[in-house]
Amino acid sequence: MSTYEWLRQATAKIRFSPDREAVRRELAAHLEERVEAEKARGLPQREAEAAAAAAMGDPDVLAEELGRIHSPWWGYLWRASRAALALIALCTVWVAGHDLLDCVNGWSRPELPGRESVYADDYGIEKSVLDRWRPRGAKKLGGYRFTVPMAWVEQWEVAYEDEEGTEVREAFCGLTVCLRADTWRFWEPCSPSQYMILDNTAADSQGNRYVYDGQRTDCRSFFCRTWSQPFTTWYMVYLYLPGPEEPPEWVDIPVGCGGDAIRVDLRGEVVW
Amino acid sequence: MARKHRLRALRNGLLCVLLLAFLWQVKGCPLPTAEMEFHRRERQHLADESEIVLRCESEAEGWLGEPAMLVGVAARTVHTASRTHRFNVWPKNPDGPTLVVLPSELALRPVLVVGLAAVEPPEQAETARLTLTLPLEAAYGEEDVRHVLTGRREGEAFLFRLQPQYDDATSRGRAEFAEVMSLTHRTAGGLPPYELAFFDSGGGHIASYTN
Repeated sequence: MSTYEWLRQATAKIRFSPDREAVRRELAAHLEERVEAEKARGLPQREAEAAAAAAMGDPDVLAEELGRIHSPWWGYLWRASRAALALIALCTVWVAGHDLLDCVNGWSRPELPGRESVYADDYGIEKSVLDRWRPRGAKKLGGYRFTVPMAWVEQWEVAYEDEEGTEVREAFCGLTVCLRADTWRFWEPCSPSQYMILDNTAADSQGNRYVYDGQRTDCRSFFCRTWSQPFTTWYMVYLYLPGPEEPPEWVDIPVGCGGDAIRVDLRGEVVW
Repeated sequence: MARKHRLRALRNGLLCVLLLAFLWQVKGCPLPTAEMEFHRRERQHLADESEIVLRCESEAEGWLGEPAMLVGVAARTVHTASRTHRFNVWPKNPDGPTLVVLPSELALRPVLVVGLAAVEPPEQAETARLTLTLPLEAAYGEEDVRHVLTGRREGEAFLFRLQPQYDDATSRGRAEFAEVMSLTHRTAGGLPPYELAFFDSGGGHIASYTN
Protein backbone atom coordinates (compact mmCIF):
# COMPACT_ATOMS: atom_id res chain seq x y z
CA MET A 1 0.00 0.00 0.00
CA SER A 2 1.40 3.40 -0.95
CA THR A 3 1.71 6.12 1.68
CA TYR A 4 -0.88 8.19 -0.20
CA GLU A 5 -3.40 5.36 -0.03
CA TRP A 6 -2.59 4.68 3.62
CA LEU A 7 -3.11 8.35 4.54
CA ARG A 8 -6.37 8.49 2.61
CA GLN A 9 -7.78 5.45 4.42
CA ALA A 10 -6.49 6.48 7.87
CA THR A 11 -8.14 9.93 7.73
CA ALA A 12 -11.33 8.94 5.87
CA LYS A 13 -13.52 9.01 9.03
CA ILE A 14 -12.54 12.58 10.03
CA ARG A 15 -15.56 14.49 8.70
CA PHE A 16 -14.45 18.07 9.25
CA SER A 17 -12.09 18.85 6.36
CA PRO A 18 -9.67 21.29 8.08
CA ASP A 19 -9.15 18.72 10.87
CA ARG A 20 -8.70 16.00 8.28
CA GLU A 21 -6.05 18.03 6.48
CA ALA A 22 -4.21 18.86 9.70
CA VAL A 23 -4.14 15.22 10.87
CA ARG A 24 -3.09 14.09 7.39
CA ARG A 25 -0.15 16.51 7.44
CA GLU A 26 0.95 15.23 10.84
CA LEU A 27 0.66 11.57 9.82
CA ALA A 28 2.41 12.32 6.54
CA ALA A 29 5.39 13.75 8.46
CA HIS A 30 5.58 10.57 10.55
CA LEU A 31 5.31 8.41 7.41
CA GLU A 32 8.04 10.40 5.67
CA GLU A 33 10.41 9.79 8.59
CA ARG A 34 9.73 6.03 8.42
CA VAL A 35 10.17 5.98 4.62
CA GLU A 36 13.56 7.72 4.96
CA ALA A 37 14.57 5.21 7.62
CA GLU A 38 13.58 2.29 5.36
CA LYS A 39 15.41 3.85 2.43
CA ALA A 40 18.50 4.24 4.60
CA ARG A 41 18.40 0.46 5.15
CA GLY A 42 18.68 0.05 1.38
CA LEU A 43 15.04 -0.45 0.30
CA PRO A 44 13.90 1.20 -2.96
CA GLN A 45 11.23 3.94 -2.79
CA ARG A 46 8.12 1.79 -3.39
CA GLU A 47 9.08 -0.95 -0.96
CA ALA A 48 10.22 1.61 1.59
CA GLU A 49 6.73 3.26 1.41
CA ALA A 50 4.98 -0.11 1.70
CA ALA A 51 7.12 -1.05 4.71
CA ALA A 52 6.54 2.33 6.36
CA ALA A 53 2.77 2.05 5.78
CA ALA A 54 2.73 -1.46 7.24
CA ALA A 55 4.69 -0.29 10.27
CA MET A 56 2.12 2.47 10.97
CA GLY A 57 -0.61 -0.11 11.50
CA ASP A 58 -4.02 -0.93 10.09
CA PRO A 59 -5.39 2.30 8.53
CA ASP A 60 -9.04 1.26 9.03
CA VAL A 61 -8.59 0.74 12.76
CA LEU A 62 -6.78 4.07 13.02
CA ALA A 63 -9.52 5.74 10.95
CA GLU A 64 -12.18 4.59 13.44
CA GLU A 65 -10.19 5.94 16.37
CA LEU A 66 -9.42 9.27 14.66
CA GLY A 67 -13.06 9.68 13.63
CA ARG A 68 -14.16 9.18 17.21
CA ILE A 69 -11.61 11.68 18.61
CA HIS A 70 -12.17 14.43 16.00
CA SER A 71 -15.88 15.13 16.30
CA PRO A 72 -16.90 17.57 13.57
CA TRP A 73 -19.47 19.56 15.59
CA TRP A 74 -17.09 22.05 17.17
CA GLY A 75 -15.61 22.61 13.74
CA TYR A 76 -19.02 23.23 12.19
CA LEU A 77 -19.86 25.60 15.07
CA TRP A 78 -16.64 27.52 14.53
CA ARG A 79 -17.42 27.85 10.79
CA ALA A 80 -20.97 28.98 11.53
CA SER A 81 -19.76 31.54 14.07
CA ARG A 82 -17.25 32.85 11.56
CA ALA A 83 -19.98 33.30 8.92
CA ALA A 84 -22.30 34.96 11.46
CA LEU A 85 -19.55 37.34 12.56
CA ALA A 86 -18.80 38.30 8.95
CA LEU A 87 -22.49 38.93 8.27
CA ILE A 88 -23.02 40.98 11.42
CA ALA A 89 -19.83 42.98 10.80
CA LEU A 90 -21.09 43.75 7.29
CA CYS A 91 -24.49 44.76 8.68
CA THR A 92 -22.82 46.98 11.24
CA VAL A 93 -20.87 48.82 8.59
CA TRP A 94 -23.85 48.99 6.19
CA VAL A 95 -26.64 49.89 8.61
CA ALA A 96 -24.79 51.77 11.30
CA GLY A 97 -22.37 53.58 9.05
CA HIS A 98 -24.69 56.52 8.57
CA ASP A 99 -26.48 56.31 11.92
CA LEU A 100 -23.20 55.91 13.76
CA LEU A 101 -22.14 59.43 12.92
CA ASP A 102 -25.40 60.88 14.18
CA CYS A 103 -25.24 58.65 17.23
CA VAL A 104 -21.66 59.51 18.12
CA ASN A 105 -22.31 63.21 17.50
CA GLY A 106 -25.12 62.92 20.02
CA TRP A 107 -22.71 61.67 22.69
CA SER A 108 -21.48 64.73 24.49
CA ARG A 109 -20.66 65.93 27.95
CA PRO A 110 -20.71 69.38 29.48
CA GLU A 111 -17.63 71.55 29.69
CA LEU A 112 -16.81 72.21 33.32
CA PRO A 113 -14.76 75.29 34.23
CA GLY A 114 -11.12 74.47 34.81
CA ARG A 115 -8.78 76.08 37.26
CA GLU A 116 -9.26 79.53 35.73
CA SER A 117 -11.48 81.94 37.62
CA VAL A 118 -12.89 83.56 34.48
CA TYR A 119 -14.29 81.65 31.53
CA ALA A 120 -16.61 82.22 28.57
CA ASP A 121 -19.73 80.05 28.46
CA ASP A 122 -21.30 78.50 25.34
CA TYR A 123 -22.97 81.82 24.53
CA GLY A 124 -19.73 83.77 24.83
CA ILE A 125 -20.68 85.46 28.10
CA GLU A 126 -17.71 86.02 30.39
CA LYS A 127 -18.32 84.60 33.83
CA SER A 128 -16.29 84.87 37.03
CA VAL A 129 -16.19 81.79 39.21
CA LEU A 130 -16.40 82.97 42.82
CA ASP A 131 -16.32 79.61 44.55
CA ARG A 132 -16.39 75.96 43.56
CA TRP A 133 -16.96 72.61 45.24
CA ARG A 134 -16.44 68.95 44.36
CA PRO A 135 -18.92 67.10 46.59
CA ARG A 136 -18.16 63.49 47.43
CA GLY A 137 -20.62 60.66 47.67
CA ALA A 138 -23.49 59.44 45.56
CA LYS A 139 -27.20 58.78 45.76
CA LYS A 140 -28.92 55.79 44.19
CA LEU A 141 -32.34 56.47 42.70
CA GLY A 142 -34.02 53.68 40.76
CA GLY A 143 -31.27 51.97 38.84
CA TYR A 144 -29.14 55.11 38.61
CA ARG A 145 -26.22 56.40 40.60
CA PHE A 146 -26.25 60.18 40.94
CA THR A 147 -23.07 62.11 41.69
CA VAL A 148 -22.13 65.78 41.58
CA PRO A 149 -18.74 66.19 39.87
CA MET A 150 -18.77 69.94 40.50
CA ALA A 151 -20.81 72.88 41.71
CA TRP A 152 -19.82 76.51 41.52
CA VAL A 153 -21.04 80.05 42.09
CA GLU A 154 -20.43 82.49 39.28
CA GLN A 155 -21.16 86.08 38.48
CA TRP A 156 -21.64 87.80 35.15
CA GLU A 157 -23.01 90.94 33.58
CA VAL A 158 -25.41 91.36 30.72
CA ALA A 159 -25.55 94.61 28.74
CA TYR A 160 -28.62 95.70 26.85
CA GLU A 161 -30.32 98.88 25.67
CA ASP A 162 -33.39 100.18 27.42
CA GLU A 163 -36.37 101.85 25.69
CA GLU A 164 -34.49 105.14 25.49
CA GLY A 165 -31.46 103.52 23.89
CA THR A 166 -29.32 103.86 27.00
CA GLU A 167 -26.99 100.98 27.73
CA VAL A 168 -27.93 99.15 30.91
CA ARG A 169 -25.69 96.64 32.61
CA GLU A 170 -27.33 94.09 34.87
CA ALA A 171 -25.38 91.78 37.16
CA PHE A 172 -26.43 88.19 37.76
CA CYS A 173 -25.27 85.57 40.17
CA GLY A 174 -25.89 81.87 39.76
CA LEU A 175 -25.18 78.57 41.39
CA THR A 176 -24.47 75.85 38.84
CA VAL A 177 -24.79 72.23 39.92
CA CYS A 178 -23.52 69.55 37.56
CA LEU A 179 -25.42 66.28 38.16
CA ARG A 180 -24.34 63.01 36.65
CA ALA A 181 -26.54 59.87 36.43
CA ASP A 182 -24.72 56.63 35.66
CA THR A 183 -26.04 53.16 34.86
CA TRP A 184 -24.59 49.99 33.38
CA ARG A 185 -27.89 49.42 31.54
CA PHE A 186 -26.91 51.29 28.38
CA TRP A 187 -30.32 50.57 26.82
CA GLU A 188 -32.09 52.74 29.38
CA PRO A 189 -29.99 55.73 30.45
CA CYS A 190 -31.68 58.20 32.75
CA SER A 191 -34.03 60.38 30.72
CA PRO A 192 -32.16 63.27 29.09
CA SER A 193 -35.28 65.45 29.22
CA GLN A 194 -34.65 68.74 31.02
CA TYR A 195 -38.15 68.35 32.52
CA MET A 196 -36.71 65.65 34.78
CA ILE A 197 -35.50 68.65 36.79
CA LEU A 198 -37.68 71.53 35.61
CA ASP A 199 -41.07 69.95 36.34
CA ASN A 200 -40.19 70.18 40.04
CA THR A 201 -39.26 72.86 42.57
CA ALA A 202 -35.71 73.17 43.91
CA ALA A 203 -34.97 74.63 47.33
CA ASP A 204 -31.97 75.79 49.31
CA SER A 205 -30.97 76.30 52.95
CA GLN A 206 -31.79 80.01 52.79
CA GLY A 207 -35.45 79.31 52.14
CA ASN A 208 -35.34 80.15 48.43
CA ARG A 209 -37.42 78.07 46.07
CA TYR A 210 -36.66 77.74 42.38
CA VAL A 211 -39.10 77.04 39.57
CA TYR A 212 -38.91 77.06 35.78
CA ASP A 213 -42.11 79.11 35.48
CA GLY A 214 -41.00 82.70 34.87
CA GLN A 215 -44.44 83.96 35.87
CA ARG A 216 -44.04 83.06 39.53
CA THR A 217 -42.93 86.03 41.61
CA ASP A 218 -42.72 84.10 44.90
CA CYS A 219 -39.93 81.87 43.63
CA ARG A 220 -36.58 82.35 41.99
CA SER A 221 -35.94 80.81 38.61
CA PHE A 222 -33.77 77.98 37.43
CA PHE A 223 -33.24 76.08 34.23
CA CYS A 224 -31.43 72.99 33.08
CA ARG A 225 -29.44 71.66 30.16
CA THR A 226 -28.75 68.01 29.52
CA TRP A 227 -26.22 65.85 27.70
CA SER A 228 -26.36 62.12 27.13
CA GLN A 229 -23.89 59.30 26.54
CA PRO A 230 -24.51 55.53 26.41
CA PHE A 231 -24.08 54.95 30.17
CA THR A 232 -24.34 58.49 31.52
CA THR A 233 -26.76 61.40 31.50
CA TRP A 234 -25.61 64.84 32.59
CA TYR A 235 -27.82 67.57 34.01
CA MET A 236 -26.49 71.09 34.41
CA VAL A 237 -28.81 72.91 36.78
CA TYR A 238 -28.53 76.70 36.85
CA LEU A 239 -30.09 78.41 39.87
CA TYR A 240 -30.35 82.20 39.93
CA LEU A 241 -29.21 83.37 43.36
CA PRO A 242 -30.23 86.66 44.99
CA GLY A 243 -26.57 87.70 45.19
CA PRO A 244 -23.01 86.49 45.57
CA GLU A 245 -22.64 87.44 49.25
CA GLU A 246 -23.33 84.10 50.84
CA PRO A 247 -24.17 81.02 48.76
CA PRO A 248 -26.55 78.53 50.42
CA GLU A 249 -25.17 75.76 52.64
CA TRP A 250 -27.12 73.15 50.71
CA VAL A 251 -29.41 72.84 47.70
CA ASP A 252 -32.11 70.21 47.13
CA ILE A 253 -32.35 69.31 43.44
CA PRO A 254 -35.52 67.32 42.69
CA VAL A 255 -35.11 64.65 40.00
CA GLY A 256 -37.69 62.72 38.03
CA CYS A 257 -41.35 62.02 38.52
CA GLY A 258 -41.15 60.03 41.74
CA GLY A 259 -40.72 62.90 44.19
CA ASP A 260 -37.04 62.18 44.85
CA ALA A 261 -34.44 64.88 45.46
CA ILE A 262 -30.68 65.05 45.75
CA ARG A 263 -29.24 67.20 48.49
CA VAL A 264 -25.98 68.85 47.52
CA ASP A 265 -24.30 69.93 50.73
CA LEU A 266 -21.87 72.65 49.66
CA ARG A 267 -20.46 73.33 53.11
CA GLY A 268 -19.76 69.66 53.82
CA GLU A 269 -18.99 68.97 50.14
CA VAL A 270 -21.08 65.84 50.14
CA VAL A 271 -24.09 64.48 48.26
CA TRP A 272 -26.98 62.67 49.93
CA MET B 1 -8.23 20.59 17.89
CA ALA B 2 -11.73 20.49 19.31
CA ARG B 3 -10.56 22.83 22.06
CA LYS B 4 -9.15 25.25 19.47
CA HIS B 5 -12.47 25.25 17.54
CA ARG B 6 -14.38 25.70 20.79
CA LEU B 7 -12.29 28.73 21.80
CA ARG B 8 -12.58 30.27 18.35
CA ALA B 9 -16.35 29.70 18.25
CA LEU B 10 -16.64 31.28 21.70
CA ARG B 11 -14.54 34.27 20.66
CA ASN B 12 -16.61 34.77 17.49
CA GLY B 13 -19.82 34.39 19.45
CA LEU B 14 -18.69 37.05 21.91
CA LEU B 15 -17.76 39.42 19.09
CA CYS B 16 -21.19 38.82 17.50
CA VAL B 17 -22.91 39.70 20.77
CA LEU B 18 -20.82 42.87 21.15
CA LEU B 19 -21.50 43.99 17.57
CA LEU B 20 -25.23 43.27 17.92
CA ALA B 21 -25.33 45.21 21.17
CA PHE B 22 -23.55 48.09 19.46
CA LEU B 23 -25.99 48.00 16.50
CA TRP B 24 -28.91 47.93 18.92
CA GLN B 25 -27.54 50.92 20.78
CA VAL B 26 -26.95 52.91 17.58
CA LYS B 27 -30.55 52.23 16.54
CA GLY B 28 -31.82 53.63 19.86
CA CYS B 29 -32.26 50.32 21.71
CA PRO B 30 -35.78 49.61 20.39
CA LEU B 31 -37.85 47.20 22.47
CA PRO B 32 -40.22 44.67 20.88
CA THR B 33 -43.50 45.90 22.40
CA ALA B 34 -45.05 49.26 23.27
CA GLU B 35 -45.69 47.96 26.80
CA MET B 36 -41.99 47.24 27.39
CA GLU B 37 -41.14 50.67 26.03
CA PHE B 38 -43.72 52.24 28.38
CA HIS B 39 -42.26 50.56 31.46
CA ARG B 40 -38.76 51.48 30.38
CA ARG B 41 -39.75 55.15 30.23
CA GLU B 42 -41.18 54.83 33.73
CA ARG B 43 -37.82 53.61 35.00
CA GLN B 44 -35.95 56.33 33.09
CA HIS B 45 -38.16 58.98 34.66
CA LEU B 46 -37.78 57.49 38.15
CA ALA B 47 -41.54 56.97 38.25
CA ASP B 48 -43.29 54.12 40.08
CA GLU B 49 -44.03 51.09 37.94
CA SER B 50 -47.64 51.12 36.80
CA GLU B 51 -50.19 48.59 35.64
CA ILE B 52 -51.31 49.34 32.10
CA VAL B 53 -55.08 49.79 32.04
CA LEU B 54 -55.71 51.21 28.58
CA ARG B 55 -54.20 50.86 25.15
CA CYS B 56 -55.43 53.02 22.27
CA GLU B 57 -54.42 53.37 18.68
CA SER B 58 -53.63 56.88 17.50
CA GLU B 59 -54.08 57.81 13.87
CA ALA B 60 -51.52 60.61 14.20
CA GLU B 61 -48.98 58.30 15.87
CA GLY B 62 -49.62 55.73 13.17
CA TRP B 63 -48.18 58.12 10.59
CA LEU B 64 -45.03 58.42 12.72
CA GLY B 65 -44.69 54.67 13.30
CA GLU B 66 -46.00 52.85 16.35
CA PRO B 67 -49.65 53.95 16.85
CA ALA B 68 -50.12 52.73 20.44
CA MET B 69 -50.85 55.07 23.31
CA LEU B 70 -50.81 53.62 26.78
CA VAL B 71 -52.23 54.61 30.15
CA GLY B 72 -50.81 53.05 33.31
CA VAL B 73 -51.93 53.37 36.93
CA ALA B 74 -49.33 53.34 39.73
CA ALA B 75 -49.73 53.78 43.48
CA ARG B 76 -49.75 57.59 43.46
CA THR B 77 -49.77 58.57 39.81
CA VAL B 78 -51.23 57.86 36.38
CA HIS B 79 -48.87 57.74 33.42
CA THR B 80 -49.56 58.35 29.74
CA ALA B 81 -47.13 57.88 26.89
CA SER B 82 -46.64 56.97 23.29
CA ARG B 83 -43.37 56.21 21.51
CA THR B 84 -43.02 59.72 20.14
CA HIS B 85 -44.71 61.85 22.76
CA ARG B 86 -43.50 63.02 26.11
CA PHE B 87 -43.98 60.73 29.08
CA ASN B 88 -46.67 62.42 31.23
CA VAL B 89 -47.27 61.90 34.92
CA TRP B 90 -50.64 62.84 36.41
CA PRO B 91 -51.20 62.82 40.18
CA LYS B 92 -53.99 60.46 41.16
CA ASN B 93 -57.22 61.99 42.38
CA PRO B 94 -57.45 60.88 46.03
CA ASP B 95 -61.25 61.31 46.00
CA GLY B 96 -62.12 59.19 42.99
CA PRO B 97 -61.32 58.41 39.37
CA THR B 98 -58.56 60.36 37.63
CA LEU B 99 -59.17 62.00 34.27
CA VAL B 100 -56.19 62.18 31.93
CA VAL B 101 -55.67 63.25 28.34
CA LEU B 102 -54.12 60.80 25.88
CA PRO B 103 -50.78 62.07 24.56
CA SER B 104 -51.77 62.17 20.90
CA GLU B 105 -54.87 62.58 18.78
CA LEU B 106 -57.12 59.55 18.23
CA ALA B 107 -57.94 60.94 14.81
CA LEU B 108 -56.78 63.94 12.84
CA ARG B 109 -58.39 63.96 9.43
CA PRO B 110 -61.02 64.74 8.39
CA VAL B 111 -62.05 65.42 12.01
CA LEU B 112 -59.82 66.05 15.02
CA VAL B 113 -60.60 63.64 17.88
CA VAL B 114 -58.75 63.82 21.19
CA GLY B 115 -59.10 61.06 23.76
CA LEU B 116 -59.64 61.45 27.50
CA ALA B 117 -59.53 58.50 29.87
CA ALA B 118 -61.05 58.14 33.33
CA VAL B 119 -59.09 55.52 35.24
CA GLU B 120 -60.09 53.63 38.40
CA PRO B 121 -63.84 54.20 37.87
CA PRO B 122 -66.39 52.76 40.33
CA GLU B 123 -66.57 48.98 39.86
CA GLN B 124 -70.30 48.87 39.19
CA ALA B 125 -70.10 51.64 36.60
CA GLU B 126 -71.27 50.58 33.15
CA THR B 127 -71.54 53.99 31.51
CA ALA B 128 -70.04 57.39 32.15
CA ARG B 129 -70.71 60.96 31.13
CA LEU B 130 -68.11 63.70 30.92
CA THR B 131 -69.23 67.34 30.82
CA LEU B 132 -66.34 69.53 29.81
CA THR B 133 -66.27 73.31 29.37
CA LEU B 134 -63.59 74.60 27.03
CA PRO B 135 -62.58 78.10 28.20
CA LEU B 136 -62.32 80.08 24.96
CA GLU B 137 -63.20 83.53 26.28
CA ALA B 138 -60.00 84.33 28.16
CA ALA B 139 -57.56 83.09 25.50
CA TYR B 140 -59.49 83.68 22.26
CA GLY B 141 -62.26 86.13 23.07
CA GLU B 142 -64.90 83.59 22.04
CA GLU B 143 -67.76 82.15 24.04
CA ASP B 144 -66.91 79.05 26.08
CA VAL B 145 -67.98 75.73 24.54
CA ARG B 146 -69.61 72.99 26.60
CA HIS B 147 -69.19 69.34 25.56
CA VAL B 148 -71.17 66.41 26.94
CA LEU B 149 -69.48 63.12 26.10
CA THR B 150 -70.53 59.53 26.72
CA GLY B 151 -67.74 57.25 27.75
CA ARG B 152 -67.11 53.75 26.53
CA ARG B 153 -65.77 51.28 29.07
CA GLU B 154 -62.49 49.76 27.96
CA GLY B 155 -61.24 47.37 30.60
CA GLU B 156 -60.32 49.31 33.71
CA ALA B 157 -60.98 52.76 32.22
CA PHE B 158 -63.60 54.80 30.42
CA LEU B 159 -62.60 56.40 27.14
CA PHE B 160 -64.14 59.67 25.94
CA ARG B 161 -63.76 61.03 22.43
CA LEU B 162 -63.70 64.82 22.20
CA GLN B 163 -64.06 66.56 18.88
CA PRO B 164 -64.78 70.19 18.00
CA GLN B 165 -68.44 71.10 17.53
CA TYR B 166 -67.98 74.19 15.37
CA ASP B 167 -66.81 74.56 11.81
CA ASP B 168 -63.15 75.59 11.80
CA ALA B 169 -63.93 78.08 9.01
CA THR B 170 -65.40 80.31 11.74
CA SER B 171 -63.32 82.10 14.37
CA ARG B 172 -65.13 80.23 17.15
CA GLY B 173 -64.44 76.97 15.37
CA ARG B 174 -60.77 77.80 14.99
CA ALA B 175 -60.50 78.74 18.65
CA GLU B 176 -62.24 75.52 19.66
CA PHE B 177 -59.99 73.47 17.38
CA ALA B 178 -56.86 75.06 18.90
CA GLU B 179 -58.12 74.48 22.44
CA VAL B 180 -59.00 70.83 21.76
CA MET B 181 -55.64 70.23 20.06
CA SER B 182 -53.78 71.87 22.96
CA LEU B 183 -55.27 69.38 25.43
CA THR B 184 -52.80 66.73 24.25
CA HIS B 185 -49.97 68.92 25.53
CA ARG B 186 -51.52 69.51 28.93
CA THR B 187 -50.18 68.04 32.08
CA ALA B 188 -51.81 67.73 35.46
CA GLY B 189 -53.52 70.88 36.59
CA GLY B 190 -54.15 72.02 33.03
CA LEU B 191 -57.53 70.38 32.45
CA PRO B 192 -60.53 72.61 31.78
CA PRO B 193 -63.45 72.47 34.25
CA TYR B 194 -65.28 69.13 34.04
CA GLU B 195 -67.82 66.91 35.71
CA LEU B 196 -67.48 63.14 35.52
CA ALA B 197 -70.60 61.07 36.26
CA PHE B 198 -70.91 57.28 36.44
CA PHE B 199 -74.03 55.12 36.02
CA ASP B 200 -74.76 51.47 36.66
CA SER B 201 -76.25 48.96 34.21
CA GLY B 202 -79.77 50.17 34.98
CA GLY B 203 -78.85 53.78 34.32
CA GLY B 204 -78.83 54.60 38.04
CA HIS B 205 -76.43 57.36 39.04
CA ILE B 206 -73.48 56.07 41.13
CA ALA B 207 -71.27 59.11 41.71
CA SER B 208 -70.06 62.39 40.21
CA TYR B 209 -66.67 64.05 40.42
CA THR B 210 -65.48 67.53 39.45
CA ASN B 211 -62.11 69.29 39.33
